[in-house]
Amino acid sequence: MPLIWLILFTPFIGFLTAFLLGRKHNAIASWFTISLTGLNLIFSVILLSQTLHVKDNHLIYNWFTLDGKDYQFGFLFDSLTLMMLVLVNFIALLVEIFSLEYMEDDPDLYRYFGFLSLFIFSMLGIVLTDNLFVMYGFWELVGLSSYLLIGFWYKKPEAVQASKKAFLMNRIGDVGFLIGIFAVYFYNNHSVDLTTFNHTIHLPTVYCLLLFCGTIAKSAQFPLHTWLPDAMEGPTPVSALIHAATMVVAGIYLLIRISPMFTIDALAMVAVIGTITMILGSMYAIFQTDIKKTLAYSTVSQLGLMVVGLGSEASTFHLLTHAFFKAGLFLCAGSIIHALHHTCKDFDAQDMRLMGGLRKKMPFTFICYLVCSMALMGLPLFTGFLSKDAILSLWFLYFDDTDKNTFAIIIIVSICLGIILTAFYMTRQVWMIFFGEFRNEKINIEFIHEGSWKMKLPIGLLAILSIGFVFSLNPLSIEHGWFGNFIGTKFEENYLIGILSTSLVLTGIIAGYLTRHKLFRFQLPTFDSFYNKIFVNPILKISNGIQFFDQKMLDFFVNFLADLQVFIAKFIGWFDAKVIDGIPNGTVYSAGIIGRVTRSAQGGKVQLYIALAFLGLIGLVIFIIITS
Amino acid sequence: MPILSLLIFIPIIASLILAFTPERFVPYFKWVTLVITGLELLLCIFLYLAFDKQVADYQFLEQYDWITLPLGNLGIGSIDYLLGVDGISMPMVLLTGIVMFVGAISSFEIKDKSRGYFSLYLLLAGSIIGCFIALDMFLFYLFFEFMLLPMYFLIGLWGGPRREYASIKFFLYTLVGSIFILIVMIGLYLSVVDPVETAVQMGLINSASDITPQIISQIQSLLAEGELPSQSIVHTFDLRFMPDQGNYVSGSWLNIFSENKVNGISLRSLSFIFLMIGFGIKLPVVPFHTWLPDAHVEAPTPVSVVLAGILLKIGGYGFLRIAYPIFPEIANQYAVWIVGFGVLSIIYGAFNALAMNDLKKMIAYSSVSHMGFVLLGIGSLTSEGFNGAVYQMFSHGILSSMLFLLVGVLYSRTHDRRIDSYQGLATQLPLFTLMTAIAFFASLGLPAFSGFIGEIFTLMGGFNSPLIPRWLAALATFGLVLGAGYFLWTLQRMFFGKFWVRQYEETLQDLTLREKIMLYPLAILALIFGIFPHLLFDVTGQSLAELLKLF
Repeated sequence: MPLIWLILFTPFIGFLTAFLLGRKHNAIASWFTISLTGLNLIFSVILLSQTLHVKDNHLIYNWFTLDGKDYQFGFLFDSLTLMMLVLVNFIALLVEIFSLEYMEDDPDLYRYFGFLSLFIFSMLGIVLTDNLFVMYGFWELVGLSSYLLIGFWYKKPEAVQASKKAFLMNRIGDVGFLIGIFAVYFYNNHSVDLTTFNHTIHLPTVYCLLLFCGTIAKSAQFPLHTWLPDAMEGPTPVSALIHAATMVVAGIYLLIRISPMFTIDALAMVAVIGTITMILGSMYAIFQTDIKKTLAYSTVSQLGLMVVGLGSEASTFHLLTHAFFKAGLFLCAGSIIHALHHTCKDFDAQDMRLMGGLRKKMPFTFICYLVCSMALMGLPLFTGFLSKDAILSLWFLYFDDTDKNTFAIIIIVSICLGIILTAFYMTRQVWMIFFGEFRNEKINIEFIHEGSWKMKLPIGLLAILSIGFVFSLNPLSIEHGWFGNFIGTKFEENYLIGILSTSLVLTGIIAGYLTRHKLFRFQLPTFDSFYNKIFVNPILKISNGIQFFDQKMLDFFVNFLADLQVFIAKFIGWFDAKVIDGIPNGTVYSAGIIGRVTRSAQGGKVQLYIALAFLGLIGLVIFIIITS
Repeated sequence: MPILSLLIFIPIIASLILAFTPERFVPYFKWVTLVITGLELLLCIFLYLAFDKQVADYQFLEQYDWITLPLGNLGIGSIDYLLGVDGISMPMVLLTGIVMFVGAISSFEIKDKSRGYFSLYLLLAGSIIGCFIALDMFLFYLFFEFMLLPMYFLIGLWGGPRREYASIKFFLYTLVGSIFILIVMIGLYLSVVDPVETAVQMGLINSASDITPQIISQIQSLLAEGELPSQSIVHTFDLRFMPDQGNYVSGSWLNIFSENKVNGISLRSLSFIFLMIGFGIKLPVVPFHTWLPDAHVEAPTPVSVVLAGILLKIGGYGFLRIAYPIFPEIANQYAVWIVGFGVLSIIYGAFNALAMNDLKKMIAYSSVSHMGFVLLGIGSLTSEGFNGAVYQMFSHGILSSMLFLLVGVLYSRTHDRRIDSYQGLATQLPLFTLMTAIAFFASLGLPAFSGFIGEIFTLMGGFNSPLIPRWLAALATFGLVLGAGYFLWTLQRMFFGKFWVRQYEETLQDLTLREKIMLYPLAILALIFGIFPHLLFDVTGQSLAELLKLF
């Protein structure tokens, strides 16, 4: 099927073309990549219509063979993949259109669109591929494109720092993921094919969790969640596409694919991590004053909720709805930042404390923001309501089924708490941005205005897609919506749960409304300083220590050996000169002395000879007398 | 056509000619060198294309009797001029062709004493190739030692400020290693018999071409019973006969059944350890690596490129060609230790790289780290590990060449290699930044680049090997994180942020055409070998599978 190859490689062509065109042709590069994305969206929809629910949805090619084992490259296009295909292309298209205006003054527009295309390419690779090995490849490429886009404004030190942090934290998770892949390869009969994953593999829990590390890093789960808020240093449309709607949900996508292999213990652990992330994320979101950071922490918390869904169809559903409303929220935020930034440049356009009353000046953005945030809170009639309820009812089912009731209750209570907190901070945020008085004295509110259609169209579409009718004619129940059919499962609506969640949301909204004027001075300590203390600084210390050891001890020892040789050589030289050579020299010298002594005895005087002979005779006589 | 001999002798003869050409032709020497290395590259590519990938055995064999000495009761000594390539040496030969060619382009910046330089460079090219294709251990050793000579002078005469120290250190270190190899070589020589020549001597056959497997087994059984008259035993350095335990004189030092021991260690173990040390110094394995940073830092750019790109690989090649096939049971026994040293190198090198402020030293230590993966793969004794190790060697050859060339580019502009002397280079040198980013990401194992395949397969081999505890292989993956750490940190410190340079801002300019010609093809090669691993795996697969059968 060539269409699927086209879908994968169209964005790659965009990437190459953008870079070949270069800075001189910024406009052509941007429009070209956008039209390629549009084309790709059409391709994806065609593929969807052709192959949805087709049995034969798996293409395999041989990549290379090593020692009789085939390493394959293949495409799997089941409902999940098709959904992701359309989703990624759709949001990418909207974000690119939005970027046209948001980034219009940037001199490196070609680079921006090139990187975006690279991202789309690698993201599509993740969802299209049929095995973990290739997926890991695209997984890292997605990390690269995220790195490049977060650090897009590379002259800004914070952006560079954030991009490095994102890549490194992802690397940490990926290493676990990689070991997990090796383990799957080992336990699953030398196959990492996604379609072969099921319960009979008996993958030990520890390897399940290592695989899950991929999700932890990519989807910003506790304890590797801290890179996502920092990633907001990138351009806002990028945050919308990558750090809200698509890339961060790649982790959830992975979880959906691998969760059939997971043991019960592993799943419990997954749920715990998801719960912690969800609560932590929403707690942090409350105390943020930066509009994007609030949304980022909210994303962290929602990703946690998807993880709590344990990679079931409910997770998939929340992934989908979240992608729309969160991308909508980010793009709205982008629209606000853009509007503020255009009037005056020397203040922080993302600080919500300097906003307020914007509903009058930006009514369209306001309405869309309101719709998306109601979807995020999970109010009835909006999409979030449907998908959150799906996850809740999943846990209520566990609660009914199992005897591990306490565990299920803890999770359910946490989800409820999460819903309240979400409603709380979103209400406050909406109030801070759009209601009350405009609090920035530097600029005149009269100059603030909405963007053009390039901004309105994407926001409007995303807001529409956040309304419950899109998924189900009865927006209070997903039971008869199209999504269940599409993904191949049946959601059962429990109205009690609906009522429960609605009342929770209302609680949150009321609490948020009551505290709308109160600004929390208190800041939760972040994990960053803790990580710096525990990991980063020790690693740097160790590396300096090892460096010291290497140069001052190991190399010193080597040099010492060399010096020792020189010393020994010198000693031997001395020995040779003084001792070895000394023996013949000494012999000669002593012979000389003896010669000189004996020579003096032979002076040539007759009297001396006679005297000596006489002395000798006396000596001889004495000797004979004594011995006899 | 004796293509392998051509590969050796074209550069050596050219080197001699350059040495004795009149002075007025000296300005053309760089072009001559370029043409000769280009010719070598073409020959290597031809060899690669003509290589039969289905065959595990040696190909393109060339054999001539070189020295035959009757040694009385010690038998007959025979040294052959024996060349051939198989799946293990083929990638190395190809790599040599590529790196020497790129090095020749890079050598254009050598201005003084160019007669000596280019003459030595070509001599080096010939001896390196010889080292990879010699199948007679004596010949191998000859080339192995011979390489030191040009290398010593290239570092010692054209190097940086501390060049004398660095070149002597390099020379002595390697020499110590080769003494270990020499000892084992003599031991092997006295133990191994050439069954073919012996059969000729015994009068069983008329000439070597009449040999049949029956005759060989007849000779081997005679040998095992000790019934061969010692005068007609032909001792050999032939590496093809050494792996076959049947060719060992019964009761000789290195016979697998002999009980010779020194301090409780059998001579075979000792020999294996000696070989590992000898080649380990070359690789280099921590703790025998300290010559490497000094040699790299002081060597001129092209010599660094050759040093990192090819010379280090001779260590890994030596493991696979000599140590492992000849002493398989010892390799099996020490697998954990070998992998342990590999993992130690990975982590130790990476930590050191993290602490470096000198860009060239950082890359030198990253080489230590990356070559650790080779040891990990080889030590795992699995098909994935072996193939991954050869792949990693090839890939590191390409990438480290690129990295050292990039350092050379910067150094030639400012004569300053300190990382903290630069900031925000991306604004001023966009192409240089792009190339560096590609080289860095490829080196840290980004998929789609060759380093990824090498690292993944060595790790996979380590992980799936029954001989290695899993945690050890898992520990090695920590090297991946550290690798990303030091490369990205360097990228952040040198290339991003506001533009600032400590000195020589005015001489800072982007890549010249010559530099593009060296760097672009390397980047493309890294990409090609990252996406199409079969280009090498098909070559190495059969030979390594054959080698694995010994374990």
